[in-house]
Amino acid sequence: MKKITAILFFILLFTSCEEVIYVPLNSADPAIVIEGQVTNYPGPYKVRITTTTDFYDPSKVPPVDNAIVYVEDDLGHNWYFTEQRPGYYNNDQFTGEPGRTYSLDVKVKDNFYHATSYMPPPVPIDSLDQGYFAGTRFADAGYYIILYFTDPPDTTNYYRIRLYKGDQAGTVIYVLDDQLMDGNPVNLLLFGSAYEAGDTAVVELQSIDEKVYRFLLTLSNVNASSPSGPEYTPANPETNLSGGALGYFGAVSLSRDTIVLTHSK
Amino acid sequence: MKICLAYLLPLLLSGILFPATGSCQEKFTLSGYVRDKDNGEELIGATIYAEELSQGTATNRYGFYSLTLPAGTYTIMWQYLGYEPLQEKIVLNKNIRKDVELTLQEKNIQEVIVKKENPDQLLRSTEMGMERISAQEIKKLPVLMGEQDILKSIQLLPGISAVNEGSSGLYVRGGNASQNLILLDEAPVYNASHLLGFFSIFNSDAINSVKIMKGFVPPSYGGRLSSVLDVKMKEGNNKKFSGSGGLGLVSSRLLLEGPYAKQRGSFMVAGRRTYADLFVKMVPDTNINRNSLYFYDFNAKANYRIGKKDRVYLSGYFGRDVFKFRDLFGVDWGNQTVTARWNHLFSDRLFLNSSLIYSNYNYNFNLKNGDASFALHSYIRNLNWKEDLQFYASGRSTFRFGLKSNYHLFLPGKAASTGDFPVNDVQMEKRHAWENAVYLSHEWKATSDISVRYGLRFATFTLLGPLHVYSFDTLGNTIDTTWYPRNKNIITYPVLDPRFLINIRTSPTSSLKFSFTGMHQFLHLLSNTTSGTPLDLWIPSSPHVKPETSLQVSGGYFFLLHQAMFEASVEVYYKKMKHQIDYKNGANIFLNEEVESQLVFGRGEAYGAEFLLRKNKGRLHGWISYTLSRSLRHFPDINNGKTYPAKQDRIHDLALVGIFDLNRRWSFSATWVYYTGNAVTFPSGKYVFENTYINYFTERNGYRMPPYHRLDLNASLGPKKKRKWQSSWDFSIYNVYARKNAYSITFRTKEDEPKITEAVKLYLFSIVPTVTYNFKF
Repeated sequence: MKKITAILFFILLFTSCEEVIYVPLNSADPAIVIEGQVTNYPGPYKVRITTTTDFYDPSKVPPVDNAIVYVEDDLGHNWYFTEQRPGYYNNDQFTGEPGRTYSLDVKVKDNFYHATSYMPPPVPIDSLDQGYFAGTRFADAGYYIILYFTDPPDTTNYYRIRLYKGDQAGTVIYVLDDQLMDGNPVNLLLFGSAYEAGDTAVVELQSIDEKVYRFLLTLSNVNASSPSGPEYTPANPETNLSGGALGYFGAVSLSRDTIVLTHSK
Repeated sequence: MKICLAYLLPLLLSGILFPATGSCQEKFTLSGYVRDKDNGEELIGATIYAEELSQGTATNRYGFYSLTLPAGTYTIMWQYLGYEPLQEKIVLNKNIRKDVELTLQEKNIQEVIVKKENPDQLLRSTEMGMERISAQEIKKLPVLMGEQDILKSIQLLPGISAVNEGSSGLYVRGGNASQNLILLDEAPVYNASHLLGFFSIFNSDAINSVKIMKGFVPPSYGGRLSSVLDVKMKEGNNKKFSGSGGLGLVSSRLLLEGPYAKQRGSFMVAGRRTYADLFVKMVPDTNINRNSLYFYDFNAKANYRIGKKDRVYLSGYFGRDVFKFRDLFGVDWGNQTVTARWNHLFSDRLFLNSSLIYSNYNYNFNLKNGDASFALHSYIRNLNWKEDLQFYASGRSTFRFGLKSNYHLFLPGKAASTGDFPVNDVQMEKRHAWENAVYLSHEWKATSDISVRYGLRFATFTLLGPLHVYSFDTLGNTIDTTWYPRNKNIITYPVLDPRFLINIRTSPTSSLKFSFTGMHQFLHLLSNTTSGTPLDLWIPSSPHVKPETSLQVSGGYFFLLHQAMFEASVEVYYKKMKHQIDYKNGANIFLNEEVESQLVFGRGEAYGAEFLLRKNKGRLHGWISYTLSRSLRHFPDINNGKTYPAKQDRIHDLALVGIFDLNRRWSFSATWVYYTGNAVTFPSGKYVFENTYINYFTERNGYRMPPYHRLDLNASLGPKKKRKWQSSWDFSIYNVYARKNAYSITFRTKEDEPKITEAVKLYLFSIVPTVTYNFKF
C-alpha cells in the first residue's frame, strides 16, 4: 500500500525536479555488518563481514579479517568457516536441510555476535511466464517475469523472490507474506526488473522465517537504490543478530526455475 | 423585568466563588442579530459595546447578541472587522430587539482618521490563542495556481504552519496534522485536503468565516489535542438573487445564492471542479490520455426563519477526488457532511442551537489485471446530536452549556477480489464507538478591568461490540483474544477537560491574558505520511490505545500602538502531550486486524513564543508574524529512549504580509515566508548488503531540511463601480525568486555509477505565475 501511495505522489509531482546536492552528514563510529546464508542447495556457503563507512566515502567498505566464524545446527553439528580473502568466510562441508534450525556465531576481537534461523520447507514454483509492459514514468518498458506458485494452506509462509539476469543478481528486494492469500494459487508480476528478448532469467522462490522476512522488509525501506518518499521516517532494519551488528543470518530453502524471454506483445 | 431572580442561576452554578454583587436595580436586555447590509449574511464575532459602561459582548456563531444593562441611555456601537461601525443612542427602558446591518468598508483612499474611542476587541475579548482572518484579506493574498485557500492563508499566522510545500495540512503549536479538529458547519471533516493536500476542501466562495483556536479552547469544543478550526458556510444572500464565480488555470467555480419565500429564507449552492484531466484527454499519447486526476466539490445551504424566534438551517458538503491510472488502478475518496440545525430564542437572553450532524469519509481503491480485479473499501462515519445553550445572565455574565452525543462507525477495510487475483476476501471488523460530552462555561466580567472565562467539559468514550479484542506481549505477538457481542461495553474512558482564561486590562491600550486548556483525543490517525493520503486509517481508542491527552498553559500580552494604528501581541505557551502514537519500524497497517500491535506509545512537549504585529489601517496594511518554538517527543521504543525533535519542530517561523491599495480598483500584495526545515532522519553512514549500499542511521530526526523561504506577489484588479456584472482579475506569482525549496532529500546510489552514493533533492515548484478571472452578479 505504501508503494501505491508513493506512485500517487509520483504522478502528482510530475512537474517536480531533482537536483544533486551536498548535505553535510555526521561520521558514525564504524559498526560491524554480517551477512550470511545457509540454503538447501549445496554450498559453499558464505559469511561476509564488513563495517559501516561514511556516506560520501567512495572507496570500498572496509572488510573485517581474522574473525572466528562457525555455524551450528540443532543436532549439535559444527562447521567452521575459513577466511578466503579479507572479510569473506567460506564453508563447503555441508548442505542445509529444511526443518532444521541453524545458528551463526562470530567473534571479532573481543566481541561476540549470534543469530539463529529456521529453514522452512521449500515451496515449488509452478511455472514462469512473461508479460510485456509499455513503460511508464515509474517502470521501464520491457518484459517482466510472472511467477506462479501455490501457497501451502494453513501455515504462515514468508517468501523472498530473487531474480537473476544470467548469473547477475538483481537488486530489487521482493518479500511477501501470505496474510491475505493463504492457501491460494499465486501469480506475481515482478515489477522493477525489466528484461529484453533473448535474456535468460533465473527466478528463486525462497522460503524464509519470520525474522529474516522482517529484516528484508525493513531493509527494503532504506535500500539506497530504491526511492523513498519525503514522508517516510527511515530506520535501520530489524536484524536477527545479537551484539549490535547490522545485517542478518538466514537459513532459507529455495526453488529455482529458468525462463528464456522471447519476442511477444 | 426584575433581574434579581436571574441571579439565582449563576449563583447556583458558580457557587461561593462569584457571589452576586449586583444591586437589584432594574435591568433590560438589548438583543438581536448583526448582518451584512448587502447580502444579509450573519456576522460572527461582531462586537456590541456600551460606551458609558465600557461593557460589551460579541455575536455568537449564528450572529446573535444579547446585552443586559441597567436602565438608562447608552451610546451603543456595533462593529466588525472590515465594516463601517454603527453608532446609535439607545434609550434602554424596556427590552429591545435590535437587528442591525453593517456596510462593508470602502477602500481607504485617504489615511483613516483614527477615532478617539477605539474599544478594541483584541484587548477585551475573553479569547486567546485565537486567530480569525477576514474574507477581504484572503482575497488579496497571492495564491498557488489561482485557488484562494483559507487553510493556506491561516498558515501565515503565528503558531500555524504548513505541513510541507503547497500543502493545506496544518501543524499547530507543535501538534501533528491529525490533532486539529476541523469543523465545517459543525460537522467533523476527516480529510480536509484535495489532490493530496495541494488544495483544501474549503471553497473560499462558499465560506462565511473561519476561526482557529490554538490556545484557549472553549469547553463547547473537544476531541482533538492541537486546535479547533471552525469553518462556517455562507447562509446565502437574502436580499437579492446573485452569483459569483471564477475561471482559473486549474479549476473553475460558481456560486448562486438568493432569497426565497418572501425573504423568510435564503439559499446558497456552490460548486467547483478542476479540469487538468480534460487537457490530459486531449494528449494523443494513449499512455497519458487514459489517466485522470481531478476533484470536485459541492456546497449547499438553506435557511428559513419561522417567526422572530426560530430559524432552521440545512447544509451539506459533498466532495470527491478521483484518480485513475489507465485501466490498471483507480482511487477515489471524499467527505460528505450534512448538518441540520434549529436556532431558538427562549427569551431575549436564552439562545438554543440544536444540531443533528452526519459526516462520512470514505475511499475506494481498485486494481485490475486482465480479468482479475481487486477492490478495497473503507469508511469512517459518525452521527452527532448536539444541544448548545447560551444564557446571557447579565451584561457581565454569560453561561454556555450543552451536551453532545456522537456515534462513530469505522470500517477499517474490506477487500474483495475476482478472477485469479491471489488475494482472499477480507472484511475487517467494524469498530463501533459512542462518545458523549456535557459542558458548562461561564464568562464573567468581574470588574471593569478583569474578565474570566472558565468551564469544564466532561466526556466519555465507549468502544462497543461486536469486536474481537486482542492482547499482545511486549514483542507485539497476540497472546489472547476476547470476543465482545453487539453493544457490549468493551471499555469506557471518562475524561474531564478543565478550561480557564483570565483577561486583565492593564491600561487603555494593553491587556494581559493567561489560560490553560486540557484536551483529549479519542480518534487516532495512523499514517505513514504527514500530509494526509486518501488511504489514511483512523482508529478509535481501545483497551490498548489510550486517549491522547494534552494540557496547555499560555500567557499573552496584547497592546495597541500609535493610536491603535498597530496592534501587537506576544504569546508564550507550554504544552504537554501524553499517549502519543507512532509506528514500529516496518509496521504493517494494511488490512491488519491486529494493527494495534504495530504501534508504540510515548509522550511529547511543545513550547514557544509567538509575536504578531499587525497594521489594519491605511493604504498599506498587513502583518509580521514570528514564532520561536520547539516540539519534542519521547518514546521508550524510538531512538533508544532518547528525546528527539518531532518532524514539525520548526524553530523559527516568520511570515511577512503586505497589502497596498493603490486606488479603488488596483491592490497589490506580497507575502514572504521563512521557516526552519523539518527535523528529518538522514544517514550518518552506509554499508554494503548483497553488493548494494544501505544507509546507516544513528538517530531519529537528528538532521534538518534546508531552511524554507519563498516570496509571492499578487495584483488584483477590482470591478468598476455600479455594474450589474462585476468582473475582477487576479495575477499571482508564486515563488518569485524561484527558490528550489527542498520537498524531500533522498540518499541513494548514482544511477550510472553504483559505487557512488549521493544526496538528491526533490523540489516541486520553481516560479508559478497564475491568472484568475472572477465575476459577480
